Amino acid sequence: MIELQGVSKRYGGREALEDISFTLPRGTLTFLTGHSGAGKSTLLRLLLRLDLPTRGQVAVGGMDLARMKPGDVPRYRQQIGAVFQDPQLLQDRSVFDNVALPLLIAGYREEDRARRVRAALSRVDLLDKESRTPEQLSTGERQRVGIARAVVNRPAVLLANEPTGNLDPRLSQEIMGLFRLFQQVGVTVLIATHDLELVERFGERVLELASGRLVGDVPAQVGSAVEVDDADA
Amino acid sequence: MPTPEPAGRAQRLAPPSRFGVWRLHQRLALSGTLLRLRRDPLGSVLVALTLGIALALPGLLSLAVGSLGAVAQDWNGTPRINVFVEGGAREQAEGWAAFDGVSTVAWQTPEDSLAEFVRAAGFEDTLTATLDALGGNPLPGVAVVTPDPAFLAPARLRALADRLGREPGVQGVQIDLDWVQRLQAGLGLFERLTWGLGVLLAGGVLLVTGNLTRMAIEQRREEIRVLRLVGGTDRFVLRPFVYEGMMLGALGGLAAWLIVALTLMALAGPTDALARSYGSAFRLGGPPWGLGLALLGGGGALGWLGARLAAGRRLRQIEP
Repeated sequence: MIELQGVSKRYGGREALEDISFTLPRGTLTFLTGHSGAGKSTLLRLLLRLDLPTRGQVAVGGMDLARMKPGDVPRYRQQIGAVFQDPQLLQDRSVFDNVALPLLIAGYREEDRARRVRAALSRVDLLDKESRTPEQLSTGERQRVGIARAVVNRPAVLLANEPTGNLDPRLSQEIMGLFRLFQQVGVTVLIATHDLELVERFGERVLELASGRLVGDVPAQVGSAVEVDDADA
Repeated sequence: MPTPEPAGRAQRLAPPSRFGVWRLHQRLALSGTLLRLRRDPLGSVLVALTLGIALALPGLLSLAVGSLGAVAQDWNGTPRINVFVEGGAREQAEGWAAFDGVSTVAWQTPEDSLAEFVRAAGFEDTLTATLDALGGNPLPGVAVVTPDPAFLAPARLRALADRLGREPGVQGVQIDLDWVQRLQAGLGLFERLTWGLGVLLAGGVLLVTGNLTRMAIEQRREEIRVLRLVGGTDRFVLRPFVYEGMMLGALGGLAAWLIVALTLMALAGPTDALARSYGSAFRLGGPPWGLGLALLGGGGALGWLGARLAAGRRLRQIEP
């Protein structure tokens, strides 16, 4: 689903990424670790096509992002769910409207939107707060709104940048459980995080970046995956 | 990229039709714009008035040009051609009535001319002495030729005058064209001035809406970034701003229309009095609907263009 070949990215004189190659098959969950400044965010920016690589090729769903026409980029982004450390919500809109944003852009009808938004909100356990504005929510709740917005349009790829950075361990665990749930229904998930303890507990594949280079690729440990209760799925 | 369908969740939604998407996006942009205009009513009214004044000025001037043109047209002081004829060739002169372009010919004898001259100059007392000194009445007979209304164009009048001038016994021809020409020239100048001012003020409207759009984009930078992140197309991001510009422009047009209507109401009394004093049936009348539509449409179009130009440039600079 996601394939990088010899990808380098240079910002000014600094090499943010150097010769990165890896493949993420469809429906897998992968962690991307490394200290801050190791290149995790840069890598995610390339995958969202917010930037283009200086060298090498980034392909998502068989599509070379560098060869995509600028006019096609919005449509591409509509198919990628992205969760940011700062959840990037619209402060003057309700939780419901924030989550509905990708559906509005895609142009779904009102009743379809409402159904999907509520389904997404119930997944992140915020159904009772749909009419609040982001500033009336806790940090963790805002983060969950961001996640609901990322998944509401059923993206094929879910990218998350430090999604648990602001959350306590219990919430972190819950949110990771959510990502696992999406992976189980076929979404390709890539999570950038420096929470190594959490990563270890999940036992999924781990890519490790250091100073812009890929220094580790630990495959998933069979049988160690944390069981996720998906009764409310 | 096919989207996987999670088991047990809602069925796959039918992809919306292109028209459906377009309609939804129009509706969203429109309702968002109305909401924002309502959120700051004073600001919206002030902007509408600013644009209204800018649009009302050329509107009023164009009305003035139209009215003056109508007055000039109605003016029944048709230019006359005075043909000075040696001696008293009255029959000859009256024969000119058959000429192409001549409506009537009135004959004025040398004696009539003298009487008129004396009256105008105030020479009554010294008339006899003067005539003696001159050795008789020196004035020629005058044929006052009134041209056909179809011959009022200056070039045709001139041609007619030339023809009369070549007639035997004619000493000279005089047309009081100057007045008409001056009026026409004045009106032409005034009209051009109106156009020039209109273009300038339209430019002003463009700048005002453009600048407002620029500020609105600056204010909503974060929102634009987020929309871009979740896949909003340029068109989707741009549309609310363009709608806002268009709506402010149209409101400005409406304000201009009101200003024009109020001005005409205020001028109606004095204009009537003035027209009556000239014995004219001219009435200012209410503002014509065509002008109202032009102001509304023109304002909207200018607002749209100003916002479009400013937003298109600005939005490209905001990348997530």
